[in-house]
Amino acid sequence: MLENLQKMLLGSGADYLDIRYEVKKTTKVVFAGKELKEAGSNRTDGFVVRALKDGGFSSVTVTKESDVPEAVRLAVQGASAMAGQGKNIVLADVESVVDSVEPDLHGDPADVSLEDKIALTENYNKLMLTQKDIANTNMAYSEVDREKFFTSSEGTAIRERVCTVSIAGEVIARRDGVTQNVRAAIGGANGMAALMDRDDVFLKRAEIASQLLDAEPVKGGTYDVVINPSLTGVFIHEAFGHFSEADLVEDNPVLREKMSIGNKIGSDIVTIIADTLIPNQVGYYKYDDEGVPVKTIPLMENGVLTGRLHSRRTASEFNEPITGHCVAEDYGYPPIIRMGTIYLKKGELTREELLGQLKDGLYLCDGKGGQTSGENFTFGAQYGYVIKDGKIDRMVRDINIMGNLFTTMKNIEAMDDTMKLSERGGCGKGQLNIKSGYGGPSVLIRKMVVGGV
Amino acid sequence: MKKLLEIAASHGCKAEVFSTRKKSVEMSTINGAVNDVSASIQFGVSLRILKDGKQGFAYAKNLTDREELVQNALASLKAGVEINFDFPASGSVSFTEDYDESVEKMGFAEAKETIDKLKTMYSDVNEGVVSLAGGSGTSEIRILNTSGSDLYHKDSSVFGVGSLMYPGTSSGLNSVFAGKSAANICEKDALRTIDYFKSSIPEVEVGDSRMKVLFAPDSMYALTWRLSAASSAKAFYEKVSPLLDKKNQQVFSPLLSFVNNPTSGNLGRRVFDDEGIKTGEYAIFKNGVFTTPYYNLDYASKMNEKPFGTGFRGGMWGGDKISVTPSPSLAHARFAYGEKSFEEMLSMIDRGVIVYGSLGAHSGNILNGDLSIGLNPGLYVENGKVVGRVKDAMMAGNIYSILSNVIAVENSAYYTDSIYDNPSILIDDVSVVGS
Repeated sequence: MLENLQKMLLGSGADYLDIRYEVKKTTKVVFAGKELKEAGSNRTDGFVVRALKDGGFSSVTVTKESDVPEAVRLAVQGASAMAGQGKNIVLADVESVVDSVEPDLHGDPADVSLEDKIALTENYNKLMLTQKDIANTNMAYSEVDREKFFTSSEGTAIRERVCTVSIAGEVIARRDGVTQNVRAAIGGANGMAALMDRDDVFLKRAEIASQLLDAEPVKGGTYDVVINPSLTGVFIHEAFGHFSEADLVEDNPVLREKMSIGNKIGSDIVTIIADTLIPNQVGYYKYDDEGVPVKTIPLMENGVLTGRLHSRRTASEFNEPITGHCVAEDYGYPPIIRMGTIYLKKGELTREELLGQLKDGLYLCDGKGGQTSGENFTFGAQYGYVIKDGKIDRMVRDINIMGNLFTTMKNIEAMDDTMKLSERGGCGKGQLNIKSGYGGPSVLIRKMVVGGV
Repeated sequence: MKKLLEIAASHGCKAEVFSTRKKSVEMSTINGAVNDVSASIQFGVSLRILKDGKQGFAYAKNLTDREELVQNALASLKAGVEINFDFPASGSVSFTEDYDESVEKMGFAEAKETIDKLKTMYSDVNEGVVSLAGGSGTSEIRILNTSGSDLYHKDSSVFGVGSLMYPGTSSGLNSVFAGKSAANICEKDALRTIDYFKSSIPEVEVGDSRMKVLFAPDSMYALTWRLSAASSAKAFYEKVSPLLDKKNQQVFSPLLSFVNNPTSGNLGRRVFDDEGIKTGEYAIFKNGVFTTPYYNLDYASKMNEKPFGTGFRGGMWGGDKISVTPSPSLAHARFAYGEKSFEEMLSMIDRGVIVYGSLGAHSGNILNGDLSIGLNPGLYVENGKVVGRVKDAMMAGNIYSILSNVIAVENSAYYTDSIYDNPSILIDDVSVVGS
């Protein structure tokens, strides 16, 4: 395939051209309650062409190989249309690479039958359905096995296979007309091992869903909070991580100034690292979709900005080192800057000491989606507890938090000595990125706006 | 497609082939400089097969190996997904009323022309970031099944988008214009948005209080997602809907009707759904009374009801239609128009917020109707005038109480990036929590 792609690169007239071909094999097993709703495996594929000409840059996606010449023509035409009308696009220099990468899988999903995947999912699903108050589940096994072939006119030719698996969904409890749901997810990028012997996870999620039926909606207001590692991951991803993506601050002069390397925007104890190379993590890959080897990037050290995530285009624009974070959802999209795995470095307190330092406030647990816009962010918590004098009190629900990046980062007061990374990603910045890993310890933050209901 | 259908049928199966073809070009600028130019030509096909009360499903982006696709569907069939419906006999239908052939030839030059038209209207905006986009595209859907249906849909669209972002933020106000042949740029709508943008640049701290909240069409999805989740036949079948015992009961203000009608609208009209069922107008909520769940073929058969054309592919997040089986969908629903103009509704607000954008609408217990969203932006209104935008604030509540307090519904709508035009809705006594 790489040789075929290299032939397609010839004679375009572009100053630079790359073509990515991707085969995406997916297996899905979907249960709605006790009913199997979908099961099967499929193979899809497509091409992404990008061209640089006279300082203009353009991308085209197609699904048919016979359309690739038209895609090359359109990409060059698009780049020419941009030339002289905006920024003069320059791609940061990188060394050409020829490589083939296989993931380190503990149990290759390709070697497991569809029947066994159905049985595994059904086991966890049934387990939850038999628990107290559980009215329904929506659970799915999802396997995404991508074989990517990248070639460029600079001589890079890379084949990399990335494979993620998960069993995830929601468990719904209902009693006396009240309905509550909790998410459940296991998975990773290291094969089927991540999915085996995990009954405890699903039992716990069912128990929390049931407990939520007796929880009170949280009252809206401004609270001091401790967020648990799962929520810390969402928080770091949404509140800070997106602003370390160069494309999100590039054309916003005020944000770009505020996010200048060397600026102190966090409290002294905040250190944040983008480490996509942590083995077996959901965010793991070796080369991004521009053929650049990914690097570990300290983004913030002791509250001071130390790094930023880049594509080749933005690395040149910012005159900063290339990082290898330009990634596409699949063959349907050109790559954009994504985080890979990002985490907040842990502290030294125990969780009890952290809650003691909080004294009165909320202990919020497990992410329920987040969103960012400019320096503002929101994220939901699946459940929480009122903390009184450092002790866990009653359970609360319906928790959504809003904050401002620059205010909140300075209000981080302490963290505990735990460290947990997410097993499943899902970032919706224009495209879905299931390879967005995140995590950290439990964190004490002062003065958070909680919406309540 | 016919050959694929024949191969599937040769295995003793009833079969349905659903295919899509999309072409698009797009250009965008930031503060006058072109920042993105892209195009896409995407094809996809999916195959559903039925045999002995079981369903198999497979899909591909190319038809280079039809036999592989059929074998994938047969393997899926063996898994044992139980169904109790047949593919409909909908005859032969070709719907191309929303297609203009001239759009096929549109490219980057035409996208730039649209941007240039927008540019003149935004020329006196001197604060924040002005982002303009233009583009065009065509979309085809074909459904063939072994019950004899041969359904074809083709449409075209040309669009222009003007986005104004407040200084130092990515939050702002959008104007979206679209039509089947031209972007239909409405200067009046654009100028109103520009006016509100300029008035709302100052940030206002609102603290915690209850006030009037006006949902603009741009943020209406935060409400409609919750209505759709609760009134889906899936939630009824699984007995988890909060509307389970509420059929023909008053659940919202009598001012609110929520109507699904894929055959009306500015763009994206559909005369058959993604399963080949004829579409039409159905009120899911009429004058605040819940009237009916909505079905696809699968849930209609399970619940012994008749489907009325609400089986579509894709979910809350969209996605590639060919990679998912149809599910109950209200993708073409909107609130019915009311009696007040936007200006009249604005004058009814002594102190309140216009929700132009929301953050976190996908978080929370959507099925239960819980709504806790960041106001992003929320335009602060005093005595009927936009005087700023709220700083770090959220609105919160549950739609079953919030939508009982509706005091006005707009008598018109403007186009947003969702398919259907919604009117604005003014709600009294909503909890707003601010910094």
